[in-house]
Amino acid sequence: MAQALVVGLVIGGIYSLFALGIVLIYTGSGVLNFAQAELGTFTLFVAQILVVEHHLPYAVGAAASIALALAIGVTFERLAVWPLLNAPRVTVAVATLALLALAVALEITLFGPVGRNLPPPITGHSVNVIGVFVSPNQIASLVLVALVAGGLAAFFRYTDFGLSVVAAAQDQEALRFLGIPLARASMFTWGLAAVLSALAALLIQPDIGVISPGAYSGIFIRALSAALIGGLGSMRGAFLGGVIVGVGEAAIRHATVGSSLTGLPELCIFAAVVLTLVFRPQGVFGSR
Amino acid sequence: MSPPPTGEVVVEAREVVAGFGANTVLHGVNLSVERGACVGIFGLNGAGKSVTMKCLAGLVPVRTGTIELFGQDVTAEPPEARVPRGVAYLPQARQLFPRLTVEQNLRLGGYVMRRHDKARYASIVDDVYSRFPRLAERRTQLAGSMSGGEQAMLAIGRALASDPQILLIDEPSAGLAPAVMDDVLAMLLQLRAEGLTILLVEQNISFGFRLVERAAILQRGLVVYEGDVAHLDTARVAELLGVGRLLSKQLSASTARTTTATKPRRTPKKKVT
Ligand SMILES: Nc1ncnc2c1ncn2[C@@H]1O[C@H](COP(=O)(O)OP(=O)(O)OP(=O)(O)O)[C@@H](O)[C@H]1O
Ligand SMILES: [Mg+2]
Repeated sequence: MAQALVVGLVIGGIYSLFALGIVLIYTGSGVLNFAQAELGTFTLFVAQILVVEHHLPYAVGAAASIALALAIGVTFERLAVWPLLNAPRVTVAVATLALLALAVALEITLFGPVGRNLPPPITGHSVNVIGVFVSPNQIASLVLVALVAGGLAAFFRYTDFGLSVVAAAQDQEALRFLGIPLARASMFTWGLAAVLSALAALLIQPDIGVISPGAYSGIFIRALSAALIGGLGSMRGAFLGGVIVGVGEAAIRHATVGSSLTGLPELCIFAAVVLTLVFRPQGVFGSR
Repeated sequence: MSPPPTGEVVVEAREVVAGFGANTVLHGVNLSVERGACVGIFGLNGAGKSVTMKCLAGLVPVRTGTIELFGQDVTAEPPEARVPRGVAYLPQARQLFPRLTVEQNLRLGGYVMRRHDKARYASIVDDVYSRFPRLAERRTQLAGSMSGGEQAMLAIGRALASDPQILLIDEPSAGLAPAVMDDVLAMLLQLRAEGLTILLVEQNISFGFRLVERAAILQRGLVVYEGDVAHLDTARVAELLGVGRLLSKQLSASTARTTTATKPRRTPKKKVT
């Protein structure tokens, strides 16, 4: 059971990164970004091709996929989000659906429908930490997620630019009349969300294994559930929600392994979301 | 008494026409505020007072006509280009960042200055805290959790945090209890006495006429009356503002108070460079 909890914590941390991307864009632009997980899948293909087909170091492939995600995120913001600043939010949400469809279509045409494999970045034996086996990849993943969480928390709190990004999520017009360029905050939000997606995809890949088009739609559902449980308006909530979903899923799967209740984890996540929305619609960490 | 206006024009609107879609709200507004002056815009609901302020701040585009700041045409400039010129705008709805602290709201008010001069910001925010001790006590409280009066003070503080040359302030008295209204009035009178240029929009006539020295009355998007408060045609003003004869007496009373009140003269706030 302890083993399952550790696995759940690692996966949950990665869900948190996806969920944080969803929360950033929801608070900053008022829309659900349906492409949040698929963008990471797309850039993961690029990493796979660079590393496996072109024999480049893993770090190069990872850096390239993150840079590509950043470019896609910022470009999408400039072309589809910023011009729609005063349009109904559902229009922008539909644009993210279009981005999702485009990503899947490109994956199939460019990379083929067959799944691909990317060897894990760090090989080596799992280490025994008080009776629980943890792989080097899992440790690296946990450390990275913690660094990202801590770094972003400090950035949003202590830098003026970070603070302006948070403020933009509360009142865009006020930002403008205080003389703070709104466009930069908006570009940053979409760029950061895209980078989080690429990073999270790289981190979760060793646990998922095969990379194939649309493979991460199930992860999007979990990330969205995490964001809804933690609160769509709360960054802290995204992290908490991610861990709740990850650990909950792993624990239930562990308890039902070998039984016929294979769909129970998903069902429980769904129930948790519904219960949250009924009894605390703003999420565990959300305010009003 | 405030230092006498120097004659230098801080903000000037010429024949400003603005609106939304098919609905033209301003039909050629003319308005001019000299350095050190305190001018009020009055008028009925929907006259276009707030839209006028938003045009001056750069939030509503001007269709025809021009807006000048210190003699320079800024008609096409976005708000973020006007702030460095010394404009601070305080909207009717205040628009604080409710889920940020007092301190963070002030920091964002001083965002432009902080980019190149953090030390100057530090002295300005100290000045804001000494004007509003209530804010100093509540630095870490979330703006949205403060009382209406505290929020009104924070909104003024946030506008002052940019060390502006002119304050555009839309209905500062709205929604305040009488006692708090007096505090806000005293604060604005103090700023006026220090020589800050102020353009004010007000519904509350007694509040507004105790503060300003010049009044413009806006009716359906046009300035239909303008004059010094000391020599106001009270009957005409009362008629234009739709206040009856009884209120017109109150109006004369409050304008009389403005003109006779003597405030200790303060040296204009020194610019820290
Ligand atoms: N964003 C907007 N979109 C469309 N119409 C607007 C907008 N803002 C203001 N208006 C219209 O412009 C007109 C003038 O509005 P404005 O807010 O300037 O009035 P006001 O004089 O400030 O009134 P009040 O005393 O009630 O604040 C109104 O008819 C209003 O409906
Ligand atoms: Mg108004």
